Amino acid sequence: MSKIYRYIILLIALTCVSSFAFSQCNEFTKKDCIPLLSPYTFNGQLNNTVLSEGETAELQLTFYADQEYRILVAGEDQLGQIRFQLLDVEYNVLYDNKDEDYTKVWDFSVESTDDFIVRVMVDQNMNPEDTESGCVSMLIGFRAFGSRTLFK
Amino acid sequence: MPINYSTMLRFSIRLFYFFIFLGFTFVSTACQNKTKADTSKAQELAVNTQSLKKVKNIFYNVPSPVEVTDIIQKMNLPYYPDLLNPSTNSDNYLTQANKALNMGVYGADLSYIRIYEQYQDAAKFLVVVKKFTRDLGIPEEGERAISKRLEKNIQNQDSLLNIITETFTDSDSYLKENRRGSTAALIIFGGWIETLYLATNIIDINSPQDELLKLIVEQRYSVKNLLALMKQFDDEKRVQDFLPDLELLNKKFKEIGQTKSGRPKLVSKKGKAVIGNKVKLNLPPNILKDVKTINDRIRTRITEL
Repeated sequence: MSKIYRYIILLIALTCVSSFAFSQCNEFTKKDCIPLLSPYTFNGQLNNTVLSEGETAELQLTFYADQEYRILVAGEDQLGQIRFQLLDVEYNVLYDNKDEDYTKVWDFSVESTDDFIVRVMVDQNMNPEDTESGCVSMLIGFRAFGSRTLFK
Repeated sequence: MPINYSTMLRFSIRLFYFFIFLGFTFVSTACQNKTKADTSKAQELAVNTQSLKKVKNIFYNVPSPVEVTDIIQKMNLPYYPDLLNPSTNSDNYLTQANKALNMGVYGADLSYIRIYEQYQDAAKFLVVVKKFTRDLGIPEEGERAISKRLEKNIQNQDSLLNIITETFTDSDSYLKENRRGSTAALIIFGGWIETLYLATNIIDINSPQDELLKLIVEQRYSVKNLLALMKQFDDEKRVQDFLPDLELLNKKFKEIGQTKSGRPKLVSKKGKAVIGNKVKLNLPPNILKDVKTINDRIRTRITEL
């Protein structure tokens, strides 16, 4: 009886923590990340997840030839630098932010409309016993090709 | 053995506070936007991708109605208000799922209205979208601010774009935060279907306008992601209702062949990063009519009273 009661309390507590963390993660994305997409228009879809070191997340989406895009990937400080790559659907690496000092933001366009994958990776710390986890956000902004004055 | 409820209660409260504290500590450093991590920590990073454990999450994004109507805007086509779902229908959608679906529909209509600067129509449709956000239990705080701003900025296309984007971003965020991902998916689904409905009903089927035809057939890519997104919530009844037709639409779009020349690579053009990929789509006969038939059917089922 006592054990069951404890488990229930533990479960409730963990659920609260999880919801709280998720809510904070959304707030982080909305307040600190979405503004960084400007002058691009946010596509309106929040992609957040909690990752541990060594884990990856993927975002599958279409990029149109008629638009310019901004990819923004940001994570909590304890995760260190977040690595992201743009891949084609055969998983060939087209861009790696590691080559640009782990930049959080990358602007680009595509010659032809096609499907792509944004892969986000939290590199593994050398010490496996010291594994951190935290919130990572992946956001996409777009704007009409050649546009410069959508937001002043 | 007798149970001491007082002791257990005290223990439970302590345990609860401990986890709340743990959670707060966990996220308190999260939201600071620092550009670089510690150099020493960076040096510790193992860069070998072989050490990566697994793909923990896969997200599927589909182009928003704002993005697609942005492309339509460049085509200088006439405005077709009769294609829109009448705002007077909005009172007839009673379930949460139908409200979500039609919030997506009205959002797409609003994005379409925006590009033609039809602000009287925009005001009517925005009222409907606001009503649905309220009905879906999305907090009103942002809405009041939006309403005030709209009164001031109704004659400004870019402000209307901001309002649409913020409304749908806040809804997506709130619904996901409250574990209502299926509702968020239904909004996205409704918006995607309505945008395709507008495009396939504006186009001249017998003599298709090149750019609009290109935009429609390019949905072969996003329908796949939309299907994957919806399948994540296939335990939801209203999602189940639409999956067979969405599968059919995906199958139809797959009939559009594609020829890729060479491997895509990153190039620089005028100082800008460009993915150099060459893709040519090969259209089978009647594809436009077939896609239109399936999509019209889905749209009717979403908007029927």
